[in-house]
Amino acid sequence: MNDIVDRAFAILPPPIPNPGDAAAARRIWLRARIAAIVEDSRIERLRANSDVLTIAALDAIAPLVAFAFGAPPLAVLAVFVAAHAAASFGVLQAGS
Amino acid sequence: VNEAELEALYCALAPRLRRYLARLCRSDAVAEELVQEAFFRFLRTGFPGSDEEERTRYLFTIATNLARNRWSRHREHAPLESVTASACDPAEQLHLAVDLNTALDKLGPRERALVWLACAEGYDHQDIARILGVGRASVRVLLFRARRKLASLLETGS
Repeated sequence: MNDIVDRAFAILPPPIPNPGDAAAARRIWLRARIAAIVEDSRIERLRANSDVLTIAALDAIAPLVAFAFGAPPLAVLAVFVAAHAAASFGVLQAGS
Repeated sequence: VNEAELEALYCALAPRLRRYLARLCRSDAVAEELVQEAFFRFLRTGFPGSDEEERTRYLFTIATNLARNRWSRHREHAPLESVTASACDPAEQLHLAVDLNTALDKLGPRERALVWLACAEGYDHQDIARILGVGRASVRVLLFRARRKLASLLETGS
């Protein structure tokens, strides 16, 4: 049974190299490099967007909480400034 | 892997992968496309090992998965391209090559992959199991059945 299979495979010609293989390899290398750069910039953009959202959310939540506790307008403003500063500082620290 | 290493690896392995994928996908053009995609994915995943055998097996695994994805997307029925026997081959060998071509066409995609990896690439059961993502015991059974089917097709002239 196996004899005929082995004989059939034994006469297969060896794999034939393509003259364009070296050029194809260089194209693939370049494509992979570009893909890595594009991915890095995409991740960077996502991170920046996420940072902006975090700061905006804290900016909105902190004064609302202060307002809910009956804080005067000046205190609400102070809480807003403090929350913004803290969030920005936190984001900068996380990014560095 | 740096650029020069990739070039050397590609020149050494692409012909083998191309031949394997051409059998699996029944098209030279598709095989070429999948070989390039396999190497691209190989680069992107950053394969950590430096063992040449491991790399080869890994590339065969990627290539098989790409071919498998393609089978599930398109049900291709293009005829297999002919297995070219060299001009000095005796007539009987030429017949056998053509028969192998036709017989392989009648096997299922997984059977083709199994038989090709075992008989043309010379991989053992464990390597085939890793490349195809099936159990080693299953490979033994499936390969036995695939070889028996192929032998019967070859004996009856496909």
